[in-house]
Amino acid sequence: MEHSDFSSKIPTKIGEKLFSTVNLNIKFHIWMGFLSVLLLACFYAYYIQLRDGLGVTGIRDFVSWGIYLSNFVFFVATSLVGMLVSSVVGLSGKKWVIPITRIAEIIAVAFAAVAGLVIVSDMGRPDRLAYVFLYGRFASPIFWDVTVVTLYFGISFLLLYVTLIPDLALGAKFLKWRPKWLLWAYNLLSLGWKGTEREFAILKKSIRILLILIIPMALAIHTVTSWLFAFNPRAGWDSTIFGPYFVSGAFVSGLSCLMIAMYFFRKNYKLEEYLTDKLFDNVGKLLVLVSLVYIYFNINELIVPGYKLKTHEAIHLRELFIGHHSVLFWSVQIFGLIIPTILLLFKPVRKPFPMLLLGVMVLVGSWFKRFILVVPVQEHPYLPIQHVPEIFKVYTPTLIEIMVTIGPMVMVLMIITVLTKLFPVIPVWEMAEHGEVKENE
Amino acid sequence: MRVKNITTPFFLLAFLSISVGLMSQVKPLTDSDKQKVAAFKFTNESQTRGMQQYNNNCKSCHGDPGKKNYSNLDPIPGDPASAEYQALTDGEMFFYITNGKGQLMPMFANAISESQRWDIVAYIRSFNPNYIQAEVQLASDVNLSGALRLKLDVFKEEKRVVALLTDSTDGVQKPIKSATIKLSVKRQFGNLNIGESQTNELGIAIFDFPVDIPGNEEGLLELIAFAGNESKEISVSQLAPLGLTVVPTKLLEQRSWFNINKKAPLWLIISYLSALAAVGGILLYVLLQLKKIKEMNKE
Repeated sequence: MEHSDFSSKIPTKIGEKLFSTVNLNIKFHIWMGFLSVLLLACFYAYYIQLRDGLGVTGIRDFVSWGIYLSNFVFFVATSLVGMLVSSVVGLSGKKWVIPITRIAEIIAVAFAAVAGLVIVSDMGRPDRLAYVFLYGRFASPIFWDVTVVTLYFGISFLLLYVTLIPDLALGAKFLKWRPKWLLWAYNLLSLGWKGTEREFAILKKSIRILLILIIPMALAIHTVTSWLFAFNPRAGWDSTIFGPYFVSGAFVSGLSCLMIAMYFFRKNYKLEEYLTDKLFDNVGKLLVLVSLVYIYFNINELIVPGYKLKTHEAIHLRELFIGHHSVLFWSVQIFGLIIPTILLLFKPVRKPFPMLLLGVMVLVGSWFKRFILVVPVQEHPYLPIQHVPEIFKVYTPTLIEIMVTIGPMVMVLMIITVLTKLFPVIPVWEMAEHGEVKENE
Repeated sequence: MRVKNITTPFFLLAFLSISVGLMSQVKPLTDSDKQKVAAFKFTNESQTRGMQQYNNNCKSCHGDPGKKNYSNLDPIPGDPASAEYQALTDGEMFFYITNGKGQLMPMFANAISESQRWDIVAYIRSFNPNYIQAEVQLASDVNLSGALRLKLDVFKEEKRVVALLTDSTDGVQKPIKSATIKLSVKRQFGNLNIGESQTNELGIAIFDFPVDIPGNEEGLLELIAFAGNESKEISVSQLAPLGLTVVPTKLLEQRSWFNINKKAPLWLIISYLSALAAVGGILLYVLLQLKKIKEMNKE
C-alpha cells in the first residue's frame, strides 16, 4: 500500500520511535505466559468457589461485602484517571498531558472492563446475572451502577479507539516488519484514514464530544458506587458527602496507578524523550492537588461524626482509631496519603524513581482504604444476631478469596500489556501535531 | 404570600388541637355514672395497689395526696386529698379517671384496667378518715351455669351496645343478674378492650361505645362479648356498624421508590430513560461520524 500524504507529514523520527514499542517480542510472551499461569490458578480458586459456594470465602452474615466489594470500589476508582487526565486536564488546554492521555485511557478501559467481573465474583449465583438486566428496578442503585459502569466502559473504549484512528493509518508506514495480521487489523480499524482536513474536523469533534461526555459519566460511576453505601443508614456509610469523597479518592488511586505505569513505560519502552522529568513533575503536582482535596474530605468524613459521637458512630470510629482496625487505618492514612502528599511538595521528589515508590505506596494505600471503607462498618449491625459465631464478628479473607481477588488484577495487567504492545502508548499524530511541546522541554 | 404559606400548617395545628380538646369533653357525666360503686371492698391491699397506680399515672400532675405539691398548671390539678375532691362520689372519681376531665386531664380507660382504676379510688379515699364505702355490688357472686345465652343489640345512632344474658335451662329464658360482661373489638393482633358492665335484674348490661374506633370500609367492626368465670363461660361475636369508615390506602398501590418497576415514580423512570437515551444518542452520533469517515475514504 502506498503511503498517504498523512503519514509523510509525521516526522520519521517520532514515528519510528513511538511505533518501535509495538512489538510482540519474547519478553512480551514470557510476561503474558506468567500472567496466564497466575490467572489459571485464580480461575481454579473461582471454580472451587462456584462448586462449593461463597462459604469458601470469609464473608458471613455480618460482613457480607468483603474484599470483593473493596476491590470493585478500587477498580471503579482507578478507572476514573482516564477522565481526569484526558478531559479535565486535556480540555483545559494543557498540552503537556498529551503523552500520557493514551496510557490513562488504557488504564481506564482495563479497570472499567474488569470492574464488572469483580462484582460477578461476589455473586453466589452468577448464572443469574442476566436478571439484573431483565428484572432490574429503576429505583435500585445497583441497577444504576450496572448501567453507568457499562456506559463508562463503552465511552472510554470508544474514546481510546477514536484517538487511535490516525495512528492506525500510520501503521502501514511504520510497522513494516510486524506480523501480517497486525497490519491487516491496523488497516481495517483505520477506516481508510487519509488525514484530510475534513476527516480531522470530524475526528476532533467526535473526540471533543466524548471528552465532555465522559466527565459526567465518570462522576456518575463513582458517585453511584458511593451511593451503594451511602443509601444505607449504617454508621460509617450514612454520609451525605460520600459522592465527592469517593470521586476525590478515585483521582488519588488513579493518578498513582498512572505514575507507576509512566515509570514502567519510560524505562522498559525507552521513552525518556517523551515521558520526561517535566511530565513527572506535573503529574506529581496534580497528585498533590487531588490528595489535598481527598485529605480534606477524609477530615470531614471523620471529624463530623467524631464530634457528635452518636452511639453507633462512636463504636465504629473507636474501631478505626484505636480498635481492631486502627493499625491498618492509620497506616493507610499516613503512608498511603499524608506522607506521599508532603514529600511530593518538594521538587527533588517529583522525579521518576521516587514517584514510582510513592505511586506504589499510594496505590497500595488506596486499595486498603477501600477495605477500611467497606468492611469495618458491617461488623456492627444495627440488628445484631444472638449467639453469633466468632467467625461472623471478625472478617478474615480466605486464600481462595484472595486468589479470586488477584484474578481481576491479573486481567487488568493483561489488558494493559496487550493494548500497549499492539498500539503505540503515546499518541503519535498528536505528538507530531504538537511537536513544539517537546522542544519546550 | 410566602409568609402565609408557612403559617397555614400552624393554623391547621391550632384547629386540630382545639378539636381534640373539644372531643375530650364529649362524654357527659350521668346520674348512673355518679352512683356507680366499686365491685369489691376497699382493703389495705387495694389501697397499696392503688398507690402504685397513682404514683405511675397521677402523681406527675396531682402530686402526693395531702401535701398540696401538685404541678403548677392551668387549670390547677388540685390535691386529691382535699375536701373538694373528697366531696365527689366514688362513681364520679371513677368516671373522671376513666374518661379524663377538662382540657388537661387525659382519659385512662385504655391505659389502666377497671379494677386498677377502682384501686386508685380506694387509695385516694384512704386520705379521708370520714369516708365510709357504700355497699358493694358483688359481680362475681354470680355463678354461671345452665344453658347460657348471650345476645347483643347494637344501636348505631346512640353508639350503644346492649347485652342480654339469660339462662334457658328449663325451657324458659330467665335473666341472669349481677354478672360481669366484657366487651371488646377484634383487631389485627388481638382484642381491644372496650369495657366491662354488670347485668341488672333484667339480665341487661349496657355499654357506651367509643366514637373513634376504626372499622372497615363499611364502618363495620367485630364485637366480642364475654361473660363467665371459672365454672362456666360464654362468648359471642358479631359485626356491628359502630366503627369509623376507613378505606385503607395500600402503600404498594402508590408509585414509590420501593415498588415494582410498573409502580416506580414517574420522575425516576423519566430521568433514568432520558439519561440513558441522551448518552446512547451521543454514542450513536459518534459512531455515525466514524461511519462517515469510512464512507468518505471509500470514494
